[in-house]
Amino acid sequence: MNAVLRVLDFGLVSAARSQAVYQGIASVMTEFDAPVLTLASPETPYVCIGLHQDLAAEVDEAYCRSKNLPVFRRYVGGGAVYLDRDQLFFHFIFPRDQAPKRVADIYASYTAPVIATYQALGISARLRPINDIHVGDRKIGGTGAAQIGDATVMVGSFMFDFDIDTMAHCLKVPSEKFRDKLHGTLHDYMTTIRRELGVIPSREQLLKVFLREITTHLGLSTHRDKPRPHEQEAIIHWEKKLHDPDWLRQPGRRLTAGVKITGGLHLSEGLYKAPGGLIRVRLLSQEGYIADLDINGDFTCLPATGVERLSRMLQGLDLTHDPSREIQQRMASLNLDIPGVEAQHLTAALHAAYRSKV
Amino acid sequence: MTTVRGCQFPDELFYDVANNMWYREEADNIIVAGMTQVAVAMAGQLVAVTPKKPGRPVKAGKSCATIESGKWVGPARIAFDGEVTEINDVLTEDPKIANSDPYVAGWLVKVKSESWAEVKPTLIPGSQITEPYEAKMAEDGFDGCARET
Repeated sequence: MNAVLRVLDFGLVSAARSQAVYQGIASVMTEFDAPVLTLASPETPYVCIGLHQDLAAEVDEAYCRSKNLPVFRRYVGGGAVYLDRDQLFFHFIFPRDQAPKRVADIYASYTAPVIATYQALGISARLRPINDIHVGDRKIGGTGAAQIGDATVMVGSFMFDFDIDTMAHCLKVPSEKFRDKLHGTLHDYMTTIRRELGVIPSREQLLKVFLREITTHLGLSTHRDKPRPHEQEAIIHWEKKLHDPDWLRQPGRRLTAGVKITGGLHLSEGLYKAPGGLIRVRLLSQEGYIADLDINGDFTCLPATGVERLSRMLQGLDLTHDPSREIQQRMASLNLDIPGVEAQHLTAALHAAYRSKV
Repeated sequence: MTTVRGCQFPDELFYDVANNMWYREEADNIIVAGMTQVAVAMAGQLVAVTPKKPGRPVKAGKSCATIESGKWVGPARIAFDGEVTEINDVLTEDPKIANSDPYVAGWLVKVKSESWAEVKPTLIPGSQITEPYEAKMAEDGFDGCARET
């Protein structure tokens, strides 16, 4: 007989509770408990930042206030995300000793039924190690893992639909051009169930498949249950903590720049003050290479279109090493005249952007 | 230095194998704590470390720092009661140091502990680390540091 996975389906809940459910359940889980799957969607939208993110550096708080979007800090890592009722959150919560120990194995185990669910719905999802779920070149939903108390937790979401406009506006970015680039990149590299199928299956339809695939892939019988009193208390405790300004703000948290689109794809900006003027680069890097690039600044370039052509020519350049020589060669081939800006200055701006990514 | 599946363990340290932590004694009941090379290899490259602040108590089996890698968040669990006296600012500024130099530059916290003497005999000295760590790696499905990093 299969071991049992308790399924706690909270349905539509408040924004804070949609994070508090897994944090609360995990915090009181003991080694003797059965594993739990919690399910929830937020009734109203919000922005959620990673455990170690700096709120002021990552979120456009003025925009969020203007749209009545609360911001909460979760107990899982990663970047700031916009979340709403078009996503169904799932949280696998296992006693530590019943879960895989290696991080890669945690993701491989618990994403297996998620991927199988997408596939059963007709979406050719696959795991892009370590923890991204992709359809072709596009990411569908994010995942994260944590150890909370004595529990191992993997969280993620089924993406019925995704509001790219709002996501791009919630994040603090260096410039509006960067925001435009972010919007375009999210559109190009993210997908949803609606985008793949043209329609959205019902929540119950998806859950029926998901629970079946959990039994197949994790070898667990699923049992719909209700939270126990001590679990309910823990959820309320965490919900209060999520509303605590001290928990949200936590000054001195690590500052990160750039936006992770998928595991290997980052959008970031770098600056370098060259003798000829400030160089600003907006870099889309993929696995260490330039996927897309925009160079501008207050330097002078002759011919005027030269920088744009140079940006295109630098696509594919390897940033894990010093690319100054290749940049110099391409500048020469374009007969560029940029007084006070040399290849090594462009390299410095590119490396500033590349190194700022998480 | 002992090597197990490509992971190094300095002989002069004491190890809590279950929690992948190492300890080094200093004067006046001060113990330096850090994560083993296995811990950071399993977590992946660290991007953030938040140790408990100096003056804060730590409890045996509980967290003395929260660790974040690109893919995981979790506690570094200390083996004894005590009070944090010092944290490694270099590490909090550049968490990757724990991956590249886990036993020297990558230390996590210094803790003043009155219970160290009781706990020390339950820890494994570096010179005897091979068998217990080999068993743990096998149990955890951990292939080795070269493979993971």
